[in-house]
Amino acid sequence: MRFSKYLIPLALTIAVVASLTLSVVLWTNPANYRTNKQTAQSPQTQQMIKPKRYVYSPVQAIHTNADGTQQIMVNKLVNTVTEIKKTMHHYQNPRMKTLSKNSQVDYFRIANQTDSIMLNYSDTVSMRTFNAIVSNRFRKLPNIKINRVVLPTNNSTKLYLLYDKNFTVYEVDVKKHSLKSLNKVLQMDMRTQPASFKLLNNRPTVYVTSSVQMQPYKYLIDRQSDDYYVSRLLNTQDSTSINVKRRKNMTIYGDQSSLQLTFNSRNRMAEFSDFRPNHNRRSLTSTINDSYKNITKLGLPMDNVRFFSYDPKSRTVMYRTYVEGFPIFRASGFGTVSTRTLNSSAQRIQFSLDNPEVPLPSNKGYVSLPSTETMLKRLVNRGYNLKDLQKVRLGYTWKKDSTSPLLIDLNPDWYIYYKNQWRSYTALMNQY
Amino acid sequence: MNFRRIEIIFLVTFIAIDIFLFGMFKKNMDMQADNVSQGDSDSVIVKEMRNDQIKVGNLSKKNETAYYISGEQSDVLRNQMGQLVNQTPQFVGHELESELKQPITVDKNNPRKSIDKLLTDSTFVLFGDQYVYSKNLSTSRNIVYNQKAMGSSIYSSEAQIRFTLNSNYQIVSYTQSYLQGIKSLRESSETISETRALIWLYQYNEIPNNTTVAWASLGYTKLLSIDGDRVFIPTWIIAIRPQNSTQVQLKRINAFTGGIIKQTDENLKNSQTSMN
Repeated sequence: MRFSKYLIPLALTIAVVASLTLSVVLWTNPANYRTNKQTAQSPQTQQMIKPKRYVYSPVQAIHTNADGTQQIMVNKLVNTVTEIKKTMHHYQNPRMKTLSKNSQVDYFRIANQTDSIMLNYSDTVSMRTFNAIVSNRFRKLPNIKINRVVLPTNNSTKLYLLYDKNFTVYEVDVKKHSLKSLNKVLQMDMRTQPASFKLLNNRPTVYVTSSVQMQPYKYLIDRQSDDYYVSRLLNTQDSTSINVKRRKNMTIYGDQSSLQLTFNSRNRMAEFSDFRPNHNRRSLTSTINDSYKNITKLGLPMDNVRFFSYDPKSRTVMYRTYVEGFPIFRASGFGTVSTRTLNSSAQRIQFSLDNPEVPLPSNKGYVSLPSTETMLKRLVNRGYNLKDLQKVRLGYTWKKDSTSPLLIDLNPDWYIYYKNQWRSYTALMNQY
Repeated sequence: MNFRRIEIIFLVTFIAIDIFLFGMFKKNMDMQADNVSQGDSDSVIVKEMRNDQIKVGNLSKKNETAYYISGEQSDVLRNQMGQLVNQTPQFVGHELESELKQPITVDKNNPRKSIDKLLTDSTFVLFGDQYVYSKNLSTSRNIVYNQKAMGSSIYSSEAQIRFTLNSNYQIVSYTQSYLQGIKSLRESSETISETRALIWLYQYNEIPNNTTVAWASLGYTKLLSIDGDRVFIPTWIIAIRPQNSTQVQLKRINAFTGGIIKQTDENLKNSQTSMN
């Protein structure tokens, strides 16, 4: 009797509390208001859009052995960076702290620590961008700038993030995890190239310490027609009439007011100018996000296309196609696609109409390139000031093949950022 | 007593509210899952296909990895055919055609088992260990083996062995083609999944209504040839059979880009017609 006296009030209380909790959960959950949106994209578009973690990916992996020797892990049968990224999805409870700032000694102590793999971005990215690689596990960490990531292969609770500009080292502590898969990557089939990581003109740079063997390539290109881009880019609702102007090798499509698309038939390049108002945001994260939106809208094949550089002065983001982990440079220094925000009502996208698609067997043997030191020394002997040679990269030169317009030759060469332009070593040596 | 009744009424009402709210909560969760995984929009399309009377078996959603590969057409078969015994080999247009002097009996129910064993013998077939049985291309009288390449196999008459059986389940002859120096041209990349390949084929309007998807397989097919070199790309090969028909139509989807490969490889087609 006593028991049943309390039973009903108790059940009532539980029912009331339960209904209150469920109401709160339902009201605060945004999914409740979201309609199940169906994105109607054509199959072609879907297949060409590569996720952010693909485009904004580190482009080079360097392994430091137990004895401190370093080597670049060059892609052969597998893409080494992709394989390493696969091991980075499961970090738990990340906590970050700043280990040091403005100390080159500390910076290189962490970067060159024994038994570690360093992943290098081509240029500075932000934590929000890096977060895409670790399956959003780092979303709560502050939005710092990052150039390199150091993964110790013998310490499963730590990883380090490096920012080159002021030699900042951040330590991220994570829950203990297995390093088996990371160490397995080191056993995979790849080529290695002896290297060392040190300063060049006060900028951390990967030096190649012996002469480099690189494979020249022949590629079949994917050739897009002008019409494809005209229909994709100028086909907005408010414009019904598109005018066309032709001048020599230039064809200019416009919609009278805000959009203009220019094709150059000689060098097979295109430029899309958008004079509609834009967000005009300046931070690194939002620039990268806006740029990503623009290139996905473009519909360019993004196979092996990676973020290459961001110039905050001109607000230009450059993307290049990578072969074996090395970027492709055209004679003009241009890559595959670049986006630029000029002001709040002007954006410009430059892109290539031809893009490498299928590699073809080549009987040419490997080409030997000098080590970084030798290359720099030769340039200085030629009369160049070492201070002007700001960045150096191994890359491929884009050259039209003489036998067919659908083929290109990719020849390995050193590339040097000289007077605000990427120039090949061969071109610089032949200039004087 | 009156108060107790009020309590009971309240209790019943709140339990009803709870049930309703829980139902909403559950639905909400499902919706979220819908938004997160793209796989669900895929299954919607697969359902749509089934509504169009297209019979599809279970499809894999796994993305695999594959390469661009190349191989070279060479005369190595001709150079080494002297070592073959009990047969009269002829080398015609990069193909080795051989008639057996003494037919070899194979297992009636499982000819593959017998032939697999025979292939290890290099006086019977050259480079036999480099070929793998293809269930899809074989029929009871025509057993097809494809050349292996980088963890998969090549679907091309330029890299194949075809055994012809007589009515007594005896191998009477075979033709062999072989590509030398198979190598990858670039590091591996991810391919699209079987489900995606089929969906794209469907969205390109290449699967008519009232058909059955007989099989789908990821293999290498020829993209182009330069001199003696052949370049192969990973391809989803999808076989479609109209209902009430035994004829199979082969469709190819580029497993890297998802594009349809329109021109049908003449030779691949020939091997198909011969099986029907």
